[in-house]
Amino acid sequence: MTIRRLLLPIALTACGCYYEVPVPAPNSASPQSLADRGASRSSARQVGDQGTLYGGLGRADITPPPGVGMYGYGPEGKEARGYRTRLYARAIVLEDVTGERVAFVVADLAVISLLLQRSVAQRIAGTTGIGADRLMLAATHTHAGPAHFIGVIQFDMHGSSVTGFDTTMVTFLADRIGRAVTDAVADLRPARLGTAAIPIWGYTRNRSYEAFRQNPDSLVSFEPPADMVLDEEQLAVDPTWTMLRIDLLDSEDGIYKPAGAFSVFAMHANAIPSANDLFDGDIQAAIQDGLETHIDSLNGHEARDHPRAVHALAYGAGGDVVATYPMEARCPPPEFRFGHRPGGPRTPPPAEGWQPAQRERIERCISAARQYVDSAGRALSERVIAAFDSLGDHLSGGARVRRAFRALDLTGPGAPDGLCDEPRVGTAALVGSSGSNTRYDGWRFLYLAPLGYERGGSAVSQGTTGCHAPKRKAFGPLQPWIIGDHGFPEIAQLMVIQIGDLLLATVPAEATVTTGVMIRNEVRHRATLSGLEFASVGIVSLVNGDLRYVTTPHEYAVQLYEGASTLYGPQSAVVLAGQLGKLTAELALASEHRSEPRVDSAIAYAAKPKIILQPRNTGPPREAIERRVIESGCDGSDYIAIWIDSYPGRLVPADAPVLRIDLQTDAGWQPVAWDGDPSLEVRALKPKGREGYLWQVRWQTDVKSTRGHRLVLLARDGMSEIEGEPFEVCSN
Amino acid sequence: MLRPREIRVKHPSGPRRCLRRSVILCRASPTWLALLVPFLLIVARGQTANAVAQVVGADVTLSTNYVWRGLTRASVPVLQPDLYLSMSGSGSYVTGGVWMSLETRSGASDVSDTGAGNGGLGEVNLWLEYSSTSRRADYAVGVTGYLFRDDPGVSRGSEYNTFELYGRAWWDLVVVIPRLAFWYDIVAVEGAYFETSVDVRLPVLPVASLYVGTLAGWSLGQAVNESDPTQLGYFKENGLTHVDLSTWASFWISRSIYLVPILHVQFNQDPFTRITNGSQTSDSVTVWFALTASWLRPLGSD
Repeated sequence: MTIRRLLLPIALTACGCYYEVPVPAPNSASPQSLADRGASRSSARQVGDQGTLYGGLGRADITPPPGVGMYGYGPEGKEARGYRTRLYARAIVLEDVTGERVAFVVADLAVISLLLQRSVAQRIAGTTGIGADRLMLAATHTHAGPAHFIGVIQFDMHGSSVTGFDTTMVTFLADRIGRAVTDAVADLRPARLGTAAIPIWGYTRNRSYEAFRQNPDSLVSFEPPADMVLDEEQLAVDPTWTMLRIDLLDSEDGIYKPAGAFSVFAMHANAIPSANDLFDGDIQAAIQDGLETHIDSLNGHEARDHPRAVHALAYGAGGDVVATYPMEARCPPPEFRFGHRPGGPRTPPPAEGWQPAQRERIERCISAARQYVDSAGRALSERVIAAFDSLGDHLSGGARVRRAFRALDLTGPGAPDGLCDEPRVGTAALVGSSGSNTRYDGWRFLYLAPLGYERGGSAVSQGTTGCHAPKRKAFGPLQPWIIGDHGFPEIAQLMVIQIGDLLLATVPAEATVTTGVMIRNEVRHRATLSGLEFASVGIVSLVNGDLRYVTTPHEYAVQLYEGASTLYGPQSAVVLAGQLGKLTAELALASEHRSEPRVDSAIAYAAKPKIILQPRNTGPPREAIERRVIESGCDGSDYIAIWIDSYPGRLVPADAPVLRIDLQTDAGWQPVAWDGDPSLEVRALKPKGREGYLWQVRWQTDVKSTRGHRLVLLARDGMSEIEGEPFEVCSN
Repeated sequence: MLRPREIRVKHPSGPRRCLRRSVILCRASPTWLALLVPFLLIVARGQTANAVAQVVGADVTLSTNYVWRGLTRASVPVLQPDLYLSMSGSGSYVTGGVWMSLETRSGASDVSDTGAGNGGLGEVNLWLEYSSTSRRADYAVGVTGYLFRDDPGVSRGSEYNTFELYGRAWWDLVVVIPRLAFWYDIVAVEGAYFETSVDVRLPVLPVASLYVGTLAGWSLGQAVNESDPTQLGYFKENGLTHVDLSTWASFWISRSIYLVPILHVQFNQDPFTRITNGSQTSDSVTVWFALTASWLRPLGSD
């Protein structure tokens, strides 16, 4: 971090350097026209007998090559050097008897942008009939996924330590996410659904309890079981795990079999700390994988490197909710101090700069975080598997699908009343959230004046008036100049979807627990007035866009991190709840009047595009590379191997698995760790000129077998499979 | 009037004095050099064997005048480049480099090393040091050779060629940064010079600090030796030579270049430090400004 970073937005604004990216307006085909065309329905449709509901599943690997920034921790987000788990987009498409078709997609990304959602819709609308108004694109909110696809200049420039916007990243993600949806449409088969809403306490806590407790008691509506001992922060959460189980008809034997699930749970995916430099799906990946493995095992499919089941876990109203990770899993932020440098008797003092914490401390906290993620992931998976199994006797094939959609202009003349005219960010947003504090947390001018660089306290501008009051605006009166025109998102895409007796209201932002309660109450109210039959309402955050946070007016008043990041003022939650209430009423009407709301095109104001995602022609061609393992050995109990392969860019993890580890058994070599297994870290080390690029795999194993193992570099890109020398497991 | 040239103490020729650059080593303290130089070379060799990185660096300082240990050496603007190569491994560096002082043309009333109307290269330093860093501290020992022009008419000529052993340390204590530094001349002056300083870090922006520092220079044997007038001396008297108040900051302007602007207000104690230009020989305060651009680049990408 240099002063350049502080001045960059100023320079960008001064030269008017935002880059206009047209945001397409892919409208859906109407259900009637879809039916006329028989669009993409599989032959299995005819196999079903009483099936009035159809479902299909799809999955796409979206793990980019190393070298891009990771999004979620702002400028603290590191450059990705490889991956621990694979990142996926998981798609579920449902179509009811009327032909109403909706896609639920959850990507292992920190957020979804308007540009990305529309780009996906543009790719699939023609072949699937699913336009922007029928595509619910959500994020798990992992803070260890790629950046550079947002298309909002301030987020592009400050969303990661690697700054910038890259159109090829948009293409990379949109192509693959689109493929997941088209695969799901191609997979459409008679389906049976079951829904459940179960409480799961004890795994989450409210990180901004001070703000939460400002809310009126009437909005706090979750009661824990009497026998659980929880602290105040653990009680201040939405514990509801909403699940939609999907069983699909097996065309071979005519039996409905467990196939997948869509879940919503209010929990940040930031247990992996900002010092991490590997792509990682966080706890959510472990939970998704846990249920998928279970479903596959129910169906006799054991190949964990090629899961068939799909469990898409979306982010609920958890803007202020994090997992109960231990404090050892938090890494210290960089410190602003002198760097060390060589020099002589006449060299000037070393420059100040952001110096990372000690490497040993970083390694310890990342290790603690991964241990927590794996153990909490396993424990939550067990709860989710139990919920999934319990739905087996409560499945129905007659559910109706309804949806209502609106793209809300937040700044134009059509903006709803109650929102501030211009988005503004507060000083507390610069210091990060509790537990994920940035390097600016606690900074004081001349050690004395806090100037708002804290959560609450001086971040509250007492006695001020105006729409954003009492927010202390970052950079004070200079903020409009620094942020520039169109610096923050200006469109909010809202959806309300009904699947059987489940209503889902989606928010293009991170809703806090109590904001979620407000929206849920409003949606319930309007649904009841409109005569909709429903059993439960789920709130899904970060769908089809990202406005940062939405807090209640009471939470906003204390200006913690979430309140300072509520861009459109204290009434944002009230306005969004009202708008989603109106959409709920439209949903009821939509069942009678098939009016197709038009999706308008828009402009994304991105940072000037630059090449960040390494292109396909990086480094020497694969024919020139002799792919081989050049070094292997033990580092404590970890097995480490280094091999030569293609440069990142030519080697794109999303294209195919790279490696696996086999165990020698009486029946031959059997895989014990596969690409994407959390016990494996794959890391791009450094170029080795024309020979290729050095890659490293680290296997942290608890396998006790003393029989031989081997590393296998899988065939890919026309390169043949390479089997490494057998080795024995490492021990301390 | 005391002229800059007159602060030099001329040395009669004699068996112990080597006034020509080519014979400098004949007077080098064999003990010091025998200890330090091999040590540095051995460390450098070990560093090369275990090096994790090699770094090339360059600094360029543009200063309104050249002030050295409180002594005004040039009252005209000077350009002072420094080029060095370093090998680093596990928190330590062995670095060798060359530093030069280039004066602009001086007038008759100016103080300068190169002499009135000359300008150009006035001084060259060759240096080799070993430094070790910990998280919030930095220590270094090294040797510097000072070389001057051998031309007639220069104010400071090759009779000043010499070697000094030096050491320095600083500690980053977040708010204050105390520093200690010493030099010991083993050839021409055979005395020590000592500096103590404290900088106070003032956070003025989340990404930049302003430093305010005070430095005191002490001569411990680098003054004119009254009992041996043949010996070179830099100061009139031993003891406190000057107190320098400074304010400075550092700014990265690219990934590998940073700037250090520094303003000095120096309170002169030793009579020789009060000679700030040809017409003013008893200035109690010297003010000057310097801007340094510092560049570092690791060698090799593999």
